Amino acid sequence: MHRLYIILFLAVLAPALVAQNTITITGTVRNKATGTIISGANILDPATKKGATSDQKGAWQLDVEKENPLLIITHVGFRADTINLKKEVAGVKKEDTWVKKEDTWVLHYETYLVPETLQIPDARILGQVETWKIRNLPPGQMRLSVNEISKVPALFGEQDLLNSLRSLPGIQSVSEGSGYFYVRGGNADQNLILLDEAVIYNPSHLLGLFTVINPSAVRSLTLYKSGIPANYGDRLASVIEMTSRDGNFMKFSGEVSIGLLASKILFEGPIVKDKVSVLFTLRRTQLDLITPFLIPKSSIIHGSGYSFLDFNGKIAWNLTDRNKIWLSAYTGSDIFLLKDQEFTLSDRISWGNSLFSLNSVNTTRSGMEMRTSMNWSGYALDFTQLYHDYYIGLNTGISNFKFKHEFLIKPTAKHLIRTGIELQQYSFKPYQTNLLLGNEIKAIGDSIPYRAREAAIFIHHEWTPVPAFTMNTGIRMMYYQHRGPFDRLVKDQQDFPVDTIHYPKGVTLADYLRIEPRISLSWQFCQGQMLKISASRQYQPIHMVPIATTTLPLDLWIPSTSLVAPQEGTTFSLGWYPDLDKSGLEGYAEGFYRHFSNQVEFAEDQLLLNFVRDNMDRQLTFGTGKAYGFELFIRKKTGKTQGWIGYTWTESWRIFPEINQGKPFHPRNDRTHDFNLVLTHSLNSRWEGTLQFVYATGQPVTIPLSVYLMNGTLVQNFSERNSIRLPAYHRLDIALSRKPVQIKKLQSTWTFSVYNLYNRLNPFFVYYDLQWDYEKNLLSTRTRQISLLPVLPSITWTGRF
Amino acid sequence: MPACVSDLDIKVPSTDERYIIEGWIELGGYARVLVSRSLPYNSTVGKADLFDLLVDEAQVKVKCDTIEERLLLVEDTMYSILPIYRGFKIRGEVGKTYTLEVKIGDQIFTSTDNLLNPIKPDSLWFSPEALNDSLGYIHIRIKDPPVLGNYYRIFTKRLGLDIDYNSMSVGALDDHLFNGTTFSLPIIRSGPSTKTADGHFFRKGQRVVVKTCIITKQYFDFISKVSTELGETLSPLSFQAPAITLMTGGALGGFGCYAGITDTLEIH
Repeated sequence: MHRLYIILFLAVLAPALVAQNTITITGTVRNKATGTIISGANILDPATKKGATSDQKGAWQLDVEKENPLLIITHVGFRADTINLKKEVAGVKKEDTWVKKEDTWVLHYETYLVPETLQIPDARILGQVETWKIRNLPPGQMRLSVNEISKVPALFGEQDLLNSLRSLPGIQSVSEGSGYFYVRGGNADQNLILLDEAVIYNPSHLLGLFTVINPSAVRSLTLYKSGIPANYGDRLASVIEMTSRDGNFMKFSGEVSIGLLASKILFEGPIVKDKVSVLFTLRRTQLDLITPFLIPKSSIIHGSGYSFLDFNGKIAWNLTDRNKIWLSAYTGSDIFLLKDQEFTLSDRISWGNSLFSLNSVNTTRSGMEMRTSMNWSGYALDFTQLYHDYYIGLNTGISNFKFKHEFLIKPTAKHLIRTGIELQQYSFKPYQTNLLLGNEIKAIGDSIPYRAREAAIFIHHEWTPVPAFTMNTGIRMMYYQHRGPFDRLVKDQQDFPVDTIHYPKGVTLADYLRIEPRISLSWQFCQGQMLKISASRQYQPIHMVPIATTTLPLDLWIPSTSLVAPQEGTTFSLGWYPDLDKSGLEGYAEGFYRHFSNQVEFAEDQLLLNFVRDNMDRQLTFGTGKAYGFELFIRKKTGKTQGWIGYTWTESWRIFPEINQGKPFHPRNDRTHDFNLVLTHSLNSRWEGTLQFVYATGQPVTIPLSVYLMNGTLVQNFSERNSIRLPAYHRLDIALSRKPVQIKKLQSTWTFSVYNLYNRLNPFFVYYDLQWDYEKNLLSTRTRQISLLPVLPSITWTGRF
Repeated sequence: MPACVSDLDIKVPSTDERYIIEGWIELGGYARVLVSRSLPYNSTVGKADLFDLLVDEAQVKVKCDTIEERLLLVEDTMYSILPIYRGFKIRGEVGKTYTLEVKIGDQIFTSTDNLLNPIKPDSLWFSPEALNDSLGYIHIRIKDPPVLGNYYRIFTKRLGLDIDYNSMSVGALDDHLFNGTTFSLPIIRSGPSTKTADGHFFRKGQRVVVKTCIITKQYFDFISKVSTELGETLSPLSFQAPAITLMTGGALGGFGCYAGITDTLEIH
């Protein structure tokens, strides 16, 4: 195996040594109106059909033939621009500069695209300009622009990142109102969600109805479902990389949006024109303001309610054309109150994420880029229950500090090398219980947080020897330690704690060294036909153990310890990407296979209170998993009617020797069929209609098959784990958007939408109703479902100034 | 949120009938065992049908040391609407080990448990409810010995109103939470009589017998799982795992020993 790693390592580096004699053009694409960079712009050489796409920094690089005089730069929502090489070589345009790369002078272009806004009389013009193509992306990668996200009909008119992601093949949710998402049969914790390199642990507000990150604050979103580059680690299934939006470098502007459930405000502008900009957004729900009217004082649950609030902020500083630094921050909070007057009971659950991320990008004159990120992110949940004079408090959380430093080296247009280090420090509080006993609050459970640290080095190489072939190779080495302080309970054979071993600060309790190779190929094997292949092995040293069947945020994060090894995952994918340009379409068909080991679950016989009388990592049981399937995706990106169809067929299994009597079972996110249709149609110059249809095989659940008499009442006997399928999930959403209308300095937009148009009652959760009429001695049992979201019309107004 | 509740249209596969055995013996009392069958989900069963669940052809024995007693099937409405198997010879004693053996046809099911030392509560008192001061909760204070292994079940019976003892709504209390401390708890009334206007409260003027029982860890785990499942019928937080059984041989259920002490509180 080690020989294989060495070969892979050489494969990473060797092609970089091959020099090519070509003319290289580099550039950066920016927004003319705001000065912010544009990623996903297409740079096309029409003569050879060769092209490039601007990256997250707006940068691109392309080798061109000397005799080809023209490059075309396009992006959705902007006027196309051209670069005339013959003209520019003469050095006419002031944005162009010569830069030296490996003893060769290449041209570097700063291109400013002009936004297409209200001046466009016909929306078809927008449709003629296309953004990135799936074919041009590495295997397993998808991107969504904010523009595309805004096209998906939104619940309560609130555009949502996760909902948009779920419309893509391979991305699934568990049920209506699900807080997490699942990629190609993986678990929820196997998705690395990043905002400016900082981790977001819980992506949802309000039982999954909203993503915690306000879409107005996001510039782009990139999803890696397989072939994850080596600069990302710590997760098995996917990476979602969100880049925050810079504030406007040229002028002050803002946006106010008022919806039925939530409203938000955005403000942005220059602190130093063309140099330093600021952007912040604030969003909150009005639900807590409405609830007192919905729950009268006579109700026993009067005083109950829910609220959420989130804040995004960013300060960006363009030090020079090649050096940029930015600080971004996010904090969000959800609070759920439940009061029961009958029992004089008051429950309060609050949870939220916070993150701070300081980033810099420095580009040398030779084109080498240095990216540095220092960030902190955390997630915490607190639950308190007051019952008369009795109090119980539970809290759980995770936080990490991360430092990442990487280099992007482009020795020629055919090579891109990405290498660097990543250091992380974790703190986990899996589950701590506080009880008021007498006059004293007593902490039970793991009172000392688990601490861990991790170091990783990585190198990734993208090699394009000929335009029809690209190979990505990478390797990542991760070293992980569980460290003191820590208290390990010692138990006797009766499972009673008899002693505690204290490990002082800094002592290593467990460590793991893991090597993660990755390789992917894109090969245009004949005219218009492309194959993409990827294989990778990844490790995940942190684990989220679900204890809830719904999306209440009671999931616990725990680290790898001496008892819990890092999760291990191996992924293969093979995709066919035909050239459908002539028909105005693009699409792909891709198959995948995944294998997971060291998966964790709570043991079946663990009761909730067991968590507080033992170390958390001893409450777990371990198993393996596999998932396989294929995806079909077809997208139309031009014309009055645009949209996409995504279909996924998947089978996903888990095997735990101590669960389900060792028999394989489906995880709750297993969906055999998953179909999504998203369509937008420009009705006329003023109105645009949008439609989304979703169909998915019913969720596998565990339900009671029989009941029996015990302890004077009825007890249920459950089926094998997740052996019964709920009815299929489906719904149709529509939206009608009025294109922006300028009223003096205010640009006004209205959106009318209907969620779940035909009122499909999809189950949010299922419960089992046992009724025993004591007077009649009549027993009845029923399986019932709660559907959270029936047909829901909404209206949203957005004003930009 | 505009949630809707409806019956779930789902096909549930038929399942094999299981034998259900619930047996116990109290300090100073005789063994009692209910043997029944499970019934399919999504069904409605009247009182007459309920009697069909009874397994009346079982041979039920309890053993303690070298003594063995075969239990007889009797009507005992204080404990069950169905006839139960009852002992008349072997009584519960502190420190003894009891084994239940049930034979149905060729199948034999067994379960063993120990009878621990009882613990007398320090005090009982009543506190009125905020909205109606004639109703309220009984509170119990217990000084727990500093040795692990004392798991609690607390029952109440309102004299003149309740036929039998009802367990407090929390099925059983974990010794790990209270070990070696003096703790107090409110007793939330449960059982069929909570369907009345008094709900889960006690009322001034009532005389209430509180029975504090000590059970073993294995029986605590079993009872806790049963109680959790009862709570899970409406809970989205359920584990939804197959039932725990203390019986060998494939039947569901278990046999438990209760070391109980009773106190009476007159609520003024």
